[in-house]
Order: sequence, then C-alpha cells, then structure tokens
Amino acid sequence: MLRRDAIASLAVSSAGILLGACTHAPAETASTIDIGSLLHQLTDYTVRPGEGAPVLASLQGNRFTAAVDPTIQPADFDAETDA
Amino acid sequence: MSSEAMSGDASFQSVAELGAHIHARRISCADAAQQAFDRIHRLDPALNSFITLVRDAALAQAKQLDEEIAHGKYRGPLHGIPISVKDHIDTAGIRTTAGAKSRLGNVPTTDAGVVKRLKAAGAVIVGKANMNKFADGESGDNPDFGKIRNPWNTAYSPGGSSSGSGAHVAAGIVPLSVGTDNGGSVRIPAALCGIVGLKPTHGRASLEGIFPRLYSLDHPGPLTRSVEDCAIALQILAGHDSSDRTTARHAVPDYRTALRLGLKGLSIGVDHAYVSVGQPDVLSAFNAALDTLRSLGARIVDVTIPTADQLGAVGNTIASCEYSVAAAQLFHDHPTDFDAAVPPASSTADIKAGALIPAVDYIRATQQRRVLQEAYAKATRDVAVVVTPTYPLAGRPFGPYPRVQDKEFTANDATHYTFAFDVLGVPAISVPCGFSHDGFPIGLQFVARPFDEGTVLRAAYAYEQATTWHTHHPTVTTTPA
Repeated sequence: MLRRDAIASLAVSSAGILLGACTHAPAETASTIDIGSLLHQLTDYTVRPGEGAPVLASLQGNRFTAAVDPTIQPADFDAETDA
Repeated sequence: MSSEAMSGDASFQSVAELGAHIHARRISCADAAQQAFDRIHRLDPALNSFITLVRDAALAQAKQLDEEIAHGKYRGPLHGIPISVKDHIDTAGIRTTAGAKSRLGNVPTTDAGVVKRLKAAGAVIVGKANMNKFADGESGDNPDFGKIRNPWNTAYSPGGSSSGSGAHVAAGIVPLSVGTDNGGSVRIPAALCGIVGLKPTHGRASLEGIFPRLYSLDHPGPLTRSVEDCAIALQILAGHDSSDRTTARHAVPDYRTALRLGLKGLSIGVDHAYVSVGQPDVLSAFNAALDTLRSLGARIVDVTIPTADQLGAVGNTIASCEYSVAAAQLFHDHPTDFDAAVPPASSTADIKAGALIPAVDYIRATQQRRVLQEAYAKATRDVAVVVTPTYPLAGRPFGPYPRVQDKEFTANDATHYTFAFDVLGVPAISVPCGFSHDGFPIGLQFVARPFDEGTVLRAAYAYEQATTWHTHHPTVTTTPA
C-alpha cells in the first residue's frame, strides 16, 4: 500500500469510526483492519486483535490539527532573547 | 556517644544543616551515609522507594570524602550529603533500570551529566529511586517493582513519576533526590509528599545520560525538604553541558543570595479561570496562601495565561510523537514491557499511535508552542511569578481517580497545573501550603519566566519562611500496607 493510499484508508477508517459511534457498532470494525495496514506500511508495528480501536482513538486524541502561521520558526528557548 | 546523638537526629536535617555539621566535623560523611542506610533499613520496607541500594560504594566514597575534609579539602554544601537519584538517570557501575525489570542488566559505564556534577560536589549516592516505569504517568504504581508508598499514608500513592524520590525525601531518609519532570513528575510527588520540588527551565540542566522520554519536555530537577536546599542543589545542577547541546550557556546566578530578598512590592499573577480544578481543600489552601502572600507585601494581580486546553493540545501531540521515538528500541526489544502499563501511563496502543501522527502535526505543534510561549511571556510581563496549586488532589489513591466536586476526574485534570509549564519550558517550584482535612499535604506552585529560577526560589522561600507547613513530617507506618 502506498502512503497516500494508507492515509486515504485512515480517512475512511475515521469516517467508519464516526459512523460506528452513531450506530453503536462494536469496537471491532473495518477500521481495525485499516489501521493495521497503515501501521504495517508506515512503521514496524503490527496491531494485535482488539488493538485497532484504541490505536485509532489515541491517534485522534493526540493529533494537533489547528492552523498555525507557517512563518513561525518552531524553535525552543533562546536564552539570549527569552530570559 | 554516637554521631547521631552528637549531631541530633539527622532524619529531617536539611542539606544546609547536615552540610554545616559535616563541614564542622561534628558528623562524618561515613556516619551520615550509615544513618541514611539505617533509615532505609527501618522505613523502606513500608515505602518501597528504592530499586537499587549501593551501600558498599557509598560508604567507601563517604570515607574518602572524610579524608578530604581531614586534609582541608571541602567541596561545598553537598560534601558528604547522602542523596538518591531517580533510576533512569545513568550512574556509572550502578544498574539503571528506568523502572523496568527488562533493564536490570543495564549498567552504564558513565555518569549522566547531572550525576557528574553531584559527585564532583561531594554528594554520596546511596541508591536509585523507584519510579513510574519509564517515567510515564503519576500513579506511583510500578508493575515491575511494585507500588511506591506515600509516607503520610502508605495506602496512598506519593505521586509520580519521581515517586521514590518524593517518598524517601519526605520520610527523612535522604535530604535530596534528583528526579525528572515532563508533566509534573518532580512537582507532583513534591506536592503529595509535602516537600519542595523544582523544575528548572528547559535547557537549564543537562539531560545527557537520562533515559529519554520526551526530548523537548524532560527536565531534571531536585526534590528536597526546604527551598534553600533546592537552591543549593540547583546551583550544582544548573549550567551548560558540552554533552547536551540543548543546555543553555546562560549565566548561572547565585541562587541562595536571592532567597532572602522577600516579597515586598513583588507582583504575583493569578489566573482565576485557570485555578478552577481541584478538591475544595486544595482550592481553600490556595486561597489561604494568597492571603499569606499579600500579608508579606506581594501584590496579587489578575493575569490570563494560555489555557490548559491550548497547552495540552500542543503538548499531547509533541509528547505522543517524542515518546514513540524514544521508546521505539525498547518496544522492539521488549514488546511486552508496555502491556502492563498502569493508567494513565502510555499503552502499547499509544506508542503505536504516536508513530502514525503526521510530521506536519508535530511541526505545527512546535510552532504553536512558540506562539503560546510568546503569549505567556506577554501575559506575565508585569508580574514576577504566577502562582497556582500544584496538584488538584490532596491524597492520590492507587487505581482510579476519585470524583471531584461530583465530576469525573481525568488524567488531564491530574496534570492541569503542571504539564502546561513543561510545554512552556518555564521554571516552576512546588512548596507545601497546607493539609487536607484528612491529613494529606497540599502543594503551592510558583512559576516564572525562562531562566528566572532565582525568582521562583525567592517567592517560594518567602512563603515557606512565613508558614510552618515545611516543619511537619510524616511518621511512617512501618508495616507495609
């Protein structure tokens, strides 16, 4: 699976989870399989049975997606200017 | 007459007091170390606050330090002081587990940057402190080395992740321990154990040789029973380390000199909207502390700092990505090490999810951190320090959090007052400010601008000296809970 396909798969997975939440679907959905594919393509990790939903929940809970001024340098403290 | 009788009960002597006795040769370094081991023998079965003890090496080092004093060489206020360090800080020749049994065979060949400084100053390491596994979470519950117990009530947690450090400093075993803080891991145990804990500015002290968890959020810092001892310890820990390029070259001032400047005319900021989370006893103690600060001549000023939600959104992304990188090799070598994670520590799912966060999210989070740092600087430009409670609970049970004011209490609530200042990277200190109705200590936090540790120490010292909370010590129930 190419990276763009994997990301598209994640988008579908996310939609699936949202739909699942509306319809009280069980935690194990197609998204579990998709997140496993994504992990396999992008990392060395595999998803164990039942782990897809918590991985996806953690991913959704820990993403920073707000718009930020792209001209900002993401620097840490500069002792000379911040003190 | 025993040395303990000559110098009084050394259990709750400060670094400054014990150091003065050692310097004047009223107590030897060897006796100071031996007394620490006697207290460990007596108290630690109930606390479980150490993973490794190094009695022979410590006593040998202490005897050598005694010889130095006999020959006129005195290294300074840490000369011969028995201390501990958290067990993810490398110590040459002493196993360093990061709280994981899978790392029992890890024996570093060199000392961490902070350990080099402590040893050069004459501190005697008596052991490695138990901790939350991989410095993750504040439960004080290590699935590999067992629960660490709060000396005020051994059925409760001392907080974490520098759990053992908080427990044995509060119990009078050693007067100083060095821990680390990336979400509150120095300040939370300090608050829950009724002692002082300082998280310096990111870059103020070396992270070299410390098991990396969150590269841009980790901060080493001292836990002590007095603010003056924190100043003494920071004087040793602070400064540039050529092995850690994140350390600043900013000058290190004399921290003890500034302690006694008082609070008269000092502006102290309070964000009342921020100070909204906590048990009634904690919020009452905080308000009483504000009255004390006013009575000392401080001016209490309203400020509006970035919210915990804003800082948490940025911090959680940074933390998730950085931990996923830091833990990758461990995860590869010991995949089951994370299975027994005690909430709110990261689970295997969290590690895997962190590896999937897009790089653009991480970069945007670090950009937004810069925006929030500037917003914080602007919001606090007219005050010397900001003051908050340290931890919203007085008494942290093992297991699920209690409900607070009839609401669910979450892991984010637990670090509401601490994680934000790790994200901002600014210095913060926790000092005791009271007790709950059922006898648990409560902490008060002072926060300042980057590299202004001197002012948090000054404010904390003035508050400490105007109150008696730091003079209360626990009586440890020596039957394990």
